[in-house]
Amino acid sequence: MNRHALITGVGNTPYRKKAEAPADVLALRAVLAACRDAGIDPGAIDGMINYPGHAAEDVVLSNLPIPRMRFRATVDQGGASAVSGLRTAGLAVLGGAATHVLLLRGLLGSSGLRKAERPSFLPGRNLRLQLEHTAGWNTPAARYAVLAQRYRHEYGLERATLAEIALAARAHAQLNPDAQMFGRPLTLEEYMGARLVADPYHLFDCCLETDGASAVIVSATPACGARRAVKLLGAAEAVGASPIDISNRDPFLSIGLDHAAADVWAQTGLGPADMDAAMIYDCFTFEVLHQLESAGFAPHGRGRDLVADGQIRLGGRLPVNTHGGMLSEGHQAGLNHVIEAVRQLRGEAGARQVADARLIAVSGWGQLGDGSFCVLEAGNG
Amino acid sequence: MAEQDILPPDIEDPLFAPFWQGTREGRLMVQACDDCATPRWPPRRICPACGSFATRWVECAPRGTLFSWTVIGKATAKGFTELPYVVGLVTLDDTPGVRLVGNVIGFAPADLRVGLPLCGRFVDAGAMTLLRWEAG
Repeated sequence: MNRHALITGVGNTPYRKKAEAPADVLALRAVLAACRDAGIDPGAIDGMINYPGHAAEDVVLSNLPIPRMRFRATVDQGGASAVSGLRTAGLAVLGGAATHVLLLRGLLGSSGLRKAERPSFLPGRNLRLQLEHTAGWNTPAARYAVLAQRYRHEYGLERATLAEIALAARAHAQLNPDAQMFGRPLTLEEYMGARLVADPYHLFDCCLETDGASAVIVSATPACGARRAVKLLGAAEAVGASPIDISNRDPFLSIGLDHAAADVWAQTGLGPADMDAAMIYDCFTFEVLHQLESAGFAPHGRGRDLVADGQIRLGGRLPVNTHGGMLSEGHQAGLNHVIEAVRQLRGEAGARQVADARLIAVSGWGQLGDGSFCVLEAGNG
Repeated sequence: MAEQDILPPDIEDPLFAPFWQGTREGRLMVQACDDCATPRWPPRRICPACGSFATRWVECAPRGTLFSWTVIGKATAKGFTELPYVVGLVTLDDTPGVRLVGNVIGFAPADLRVGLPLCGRFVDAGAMTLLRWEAG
């Protein structure tokens, strides 16, 4: 297919530890910013992809004059939802179900209820309560940590590799005034001295909890002009082996991204070497390494070679998470990764601009290892 | 660990009840297909090997080896306030297709390694009996 869905607008609030406004107000600010960016009136939005637990269609429909909302869907795949939702929105606009589809995240994720206190949207709730919570295995950090520990046994995993992923993200955030960790650099000594969360994860291996909001508009036509409209060149989602259970997974390190990335490379005829940057869902440091390998940026077990020597930093071979990611920009369930890719491809990333960025890959990781993946291309003209 | 404070699941749930009944009696019961005999874990409705709904429960020896683990350094679960504690995935010796999630006790974190032989210990937690793992 030659037609591609377009990302025409992106918007966000600053990402902070404590916002000065409630979540719905933050969300509306992000929506209005994305509409201005797309060059459309909010009333032109006629589709929306909802994400459980964040500001959703009720906030939008009760506050903005949207006369013809004709496509709504919920994409409920945890952190894989941003890229999967982007794909759903793309299919909707290409199929004629809607013209401008909104993706939205908005939450007081830091000053409001924290992750451990909010309702869980994980699948297999009863299994979790029966066999996992009764062993004190109840947090994302603890769940994913066993993947990292097994990887360490199979391939080797040095703390220095995880440190570089965290430090690169923090260094990038120093170039991003919207980032929660802007103005708060991190040293290797601070990283190494951090308290244990769930081995191998210490404090700075874990993503932030954030107050803020993000919005993305996916369109059939470029109201904002062809130059600024970023093409959704290919997108896919997938589950790995035993997607509802990590404990008996075989192969144990199989994840949805294995399939999603392969599908996108096949759809686009492109490969990892064609990408100018990658935005990788960084809930935890090891999951960046895991996904870089899964998507083919490095052979299995050799991600450490890609991470070493500044290669994932700005100016390196494959800049990763130039906004700071969820480790240092803020937790927006990955929609901020999409926003950063769009700004890079428009050449609007300022001090953190990747020179001549034309193609950027974005990954999503959610639930117990669901994966999503897309490639975005700069507009013409 | 304060076992009595751990939030109990619904141990009467038919999908899991034979497991909890077993631990109460000091026996490790695992689900298997009643047609093709393939063991499966965690419990589910249909045999992944043959598609049968027919289910039986078989007793396994509570002995295994450590497949993976994590050392938890932050308390977030009721009943798990003594830090650090270890969550392990344990492959059963007599049923290698089954891995159980359980706490590994009695080891310094630095001594944990894949393949460590472990022996199950049934621990009274009030509403239910837990299966934990110690040096085997």
